[in-house]
Amino acid sequence: MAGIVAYGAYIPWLRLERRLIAEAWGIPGVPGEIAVGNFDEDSITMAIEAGRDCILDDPVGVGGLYFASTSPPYAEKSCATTVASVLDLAQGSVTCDFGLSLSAGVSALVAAASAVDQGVAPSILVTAGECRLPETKTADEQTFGDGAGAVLVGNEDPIAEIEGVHTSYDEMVATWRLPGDRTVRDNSRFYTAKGYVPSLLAAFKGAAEAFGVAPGDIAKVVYPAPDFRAHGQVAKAMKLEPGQIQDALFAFVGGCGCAQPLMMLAGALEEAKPGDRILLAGAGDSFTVLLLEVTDRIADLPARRAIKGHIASKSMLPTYAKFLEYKEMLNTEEGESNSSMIQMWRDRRAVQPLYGKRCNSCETVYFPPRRLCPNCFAREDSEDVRLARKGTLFDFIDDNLYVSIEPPTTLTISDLDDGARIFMQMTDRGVGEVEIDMPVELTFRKIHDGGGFHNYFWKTRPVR
Amino acid sequence: MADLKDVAVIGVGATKFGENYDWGVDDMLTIAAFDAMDDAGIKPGQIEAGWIGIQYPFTGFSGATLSDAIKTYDIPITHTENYCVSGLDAFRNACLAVASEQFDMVIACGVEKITDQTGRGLPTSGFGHPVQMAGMTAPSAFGLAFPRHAKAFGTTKEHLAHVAVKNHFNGAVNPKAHFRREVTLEQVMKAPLISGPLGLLDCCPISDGSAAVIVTRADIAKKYRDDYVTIKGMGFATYTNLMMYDKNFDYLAWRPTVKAAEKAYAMAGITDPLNEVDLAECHDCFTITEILNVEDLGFCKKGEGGPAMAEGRFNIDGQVAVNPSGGLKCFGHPIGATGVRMVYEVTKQLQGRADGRQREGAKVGMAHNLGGLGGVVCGVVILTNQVR
Repeated sequence: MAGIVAYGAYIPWLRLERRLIAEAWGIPGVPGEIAVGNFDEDSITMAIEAGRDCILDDPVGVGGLYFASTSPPYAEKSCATTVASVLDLAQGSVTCDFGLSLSAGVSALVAAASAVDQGVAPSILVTAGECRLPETKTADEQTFGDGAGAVLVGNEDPIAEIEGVHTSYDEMVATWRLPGDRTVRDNSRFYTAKGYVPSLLAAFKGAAEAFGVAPGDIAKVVYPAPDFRAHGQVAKAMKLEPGQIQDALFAFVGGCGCAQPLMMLAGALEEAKPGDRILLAGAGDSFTVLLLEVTDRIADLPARRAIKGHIASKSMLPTYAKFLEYKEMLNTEEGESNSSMIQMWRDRRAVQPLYGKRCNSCETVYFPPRRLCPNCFAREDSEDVRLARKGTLFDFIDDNLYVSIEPPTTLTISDLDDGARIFMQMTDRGVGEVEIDMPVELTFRKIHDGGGFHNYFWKTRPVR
Repeated sequence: MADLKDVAVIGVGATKFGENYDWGVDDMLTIAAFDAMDDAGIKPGQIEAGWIGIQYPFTGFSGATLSDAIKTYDIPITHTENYCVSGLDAFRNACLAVASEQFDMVIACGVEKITDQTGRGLPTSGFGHPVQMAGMTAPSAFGLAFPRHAKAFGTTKEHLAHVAVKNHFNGAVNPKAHFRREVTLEQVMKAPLISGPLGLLDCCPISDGSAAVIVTRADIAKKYRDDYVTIKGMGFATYTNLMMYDKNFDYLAWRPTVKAAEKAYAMAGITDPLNEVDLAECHDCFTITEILNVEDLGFCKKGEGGPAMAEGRFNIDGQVAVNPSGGLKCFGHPIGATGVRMVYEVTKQLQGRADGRQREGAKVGMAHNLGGLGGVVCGVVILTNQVR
C-alpha cells in the first residue's frame, strides 16, 4: 500500500487563555490556551499553510489534493480546488472534498492511499483544516481550537509505510450542525459514554486483531478525542504507557476537529525513529485505524515547522471580546468591498499561486503580470514565474482608516527574494514590531467577502 | 495664431468650502459658476464651451452636470476625470480650446459632493484590483513616502506638523475656507493617528465645494478688465497606478510633479523657481505630500523640505508663499473642485484681491495639483499678471 511521504501542520499565531473565557462568563475555567485563527483565516487558508509546510512550497510531482473539514467556508463549491490552485498543483491533479464528520481527515487519508494504489495519481496531498465555531458559554468554547494538518501520500520514498487499515462505523446523533447553523451542537457526555469511547476501543481491538499487533509493539498511539478527559479515558482503558500516548494538543491548541489526528500524526512523526510502529485513528461516525511503520527515510526529510515550529510562535489575544469579534459573533463596523468573480477568475494565476512575469529582455521580475515590462517596456516578451514566498520589507505604514476588524492595517511594500516588488497587507504582526528591511514571508489569507464570495490573496508577515 | 500664453483668466468664482449639507451639486455649481461670470462681467449665453472636473460618480456624470446647473444648453461640455487633478485638467482643456481659437469664451469648473457618501475618508474601494490593492487608502498611499523620506533625509513628524501650522495660519483669514482657525504644533503632534505618522491634522478634511473660472484670450480679456492674468507656463504628467510595484520608484519624490514642473518651467522660461515664483497653491492633501512637493518643485533641495518648512521659508512672507489660501489643509479636497480653486486663489493673489492673505507684490503664481493613490498624475500651471 501507499505510504506517507511527508507531513506538515499549521497552528495559528493567536492564542486565547481559557481563563479569559471563563472569567467573561463567570463559569469554571480550564487551564491552558486555545489556538485562534486570525480574522483573515479560515479552514481553507489554514489547510493551505499546512499543505505548504508539508511539500515545502514545491508542488512538483504532487498529483492530487484532498481537503477535509467540517467547517469549510463554502456550503457548495470545492475548497480542495482552491487549495490545489494556491499550491500550484498541475491542472491534471485529482481533487476531492471531505467533510461532515470528525473522521473526515483520516477518511481522506485512507481514500488518498487507495487512489494512489489504484494509480489515480502518483501522490496526493491530504489537507485538513478546521475552525469550528462553538456555542458561547459552553465547555466546547474552551475545548475547540483552530488548526490544520497535512500528509503527502505516495509510493516514492515513504517515511512511513501504511501496513494496514481497519474500519467500522457507528450511527448516532450526538455532534451535529443543521444547514444554517453557525455553531456546533453536541451532547458530549452522551457521545463520550455511548459513542466515542466504546466505538474507538472496539476499533482499536479489531485493528489489533486484524494487524496482529499487541499494544506493547506500538511506539505511539495517535487518536483524536472530543475533549481532554475522553482522550484520557481511552488511554486508560487501553492501558497505554504515558510514552505511547501522542499528545492530543488540548493543552495549548485545543481540539481541531477532523484535522486533529493529522496534526497529531505530524507531532508523532517529528519525533519518530525508523522502525517505530504507529497506530493512527480517526474517530466520529466512522472509526478507522491505520498501522504505520516508520522507515529509514524519515532521517532525510527536510526540516519543517509542523507542530514544534508553530506551537512556540504565538501571540496572546488580550480579551475574550477579540475572540468573539474574530469569529464574527459580534456586530462591528463592516467596510465596503467590491469584487468581480469574473476578474478574480481571469486573474486567478496571479491571485492564487502568485504568478508574476520575468522579462526576457531585461530580466526584471514583476507583479502584477502585464503585457509590457514596467522596466524596459519590452512588449509581450516574458515568462510566467511563480514568485518567491520570502522577501525584505521596503516600506510600510500602519493605516487606521481602512475598515478592519483589527486596525491598524499594516500596508507593506516588499522586495521578494526573486526581485519582484509587491504591495500587500501584513498580518500576524505586533504593532511596533515592523521596520524597514526586516525579513518577511508570505501567507495566503482572506481579504474580504466582496461580491458575496470569499476573496483571498497573499499577505506578508514577520517570519515565524 | 494664438498660443497658450495668450490665454487669460477674466473671472473666478467659488463657493464656501466645507460640510455643505444644505447644498447639492447643482446648488454649488450654480453659485460658483455665476460667481465667476459675475466677476468676469459676462452672461451664460456668451459661454461657447465648458469643462467640468468631477472624480466620483456620486457627484455626477458627464457634461450635463454643468449645463443643468447654469442652463448653457446646446454647447459642448466635457467631463474631465483625472483623480485629484480632475479640476486642473478641466482648466487645461479650456485653455487649449481657447489657444486653438476654436472658442473665444469658455468656462472651466469643478465640483465634488464628498459628504453625500457615508464612508470614512475618501472612498477607495473601487480603485484598483479587488484584492491586490485592498487596504490602500489615500493617507497611506501618500504616507508611504514618510518612512523612506525619513530614512533618507531624517524628516520627522514635527516637520510635517509645521506644514499644518503654516496652512492653518493662512486659512484662518480666508472667508471661503472650511477650517478657519490656527493650530499649534502641539495640537498637530497630538492629534489621533490616521495613517503612520499622519494624524488628523496632517490630513485635509472631508469637504464639499465648487469653483469656476472664465477663460478667454488676452486680446478679448482687455474688453472686460485690466487686471486679467495670463498663462506663463503649463505642464502635466502621468506616471502609473502601480508605483508600489515599481522597483524604479523610491518614494522620495513624486515623479509626475517633477516632470510636470520641468515642462511648465521650460515653457515659462523659469530657471530659478525659488526666486521667480512668488506663491504656489500646492497640493497638500497630507502634510508629507507638501514636504515632497516643495522639493519636487525646486523650491528647496531634495531632502530639505522638512527643515525648510520649520524655518518658515514657505510662510506667506517667506521665499515662496506656499498655500497662501490655507491649501487643501483648510479647504478640504472636494476632488473635482480643487484644481479650479487653486486657479481662483492664484488669480486673486495676482490681482491683489486676496484680502488678509495677500502675498505682497505677487507677479508669478503657481497652481500645483497632484493626484492618485500616491503621485500618479500632476498638473502645474503658472500664471502671471505681467503683460506678455
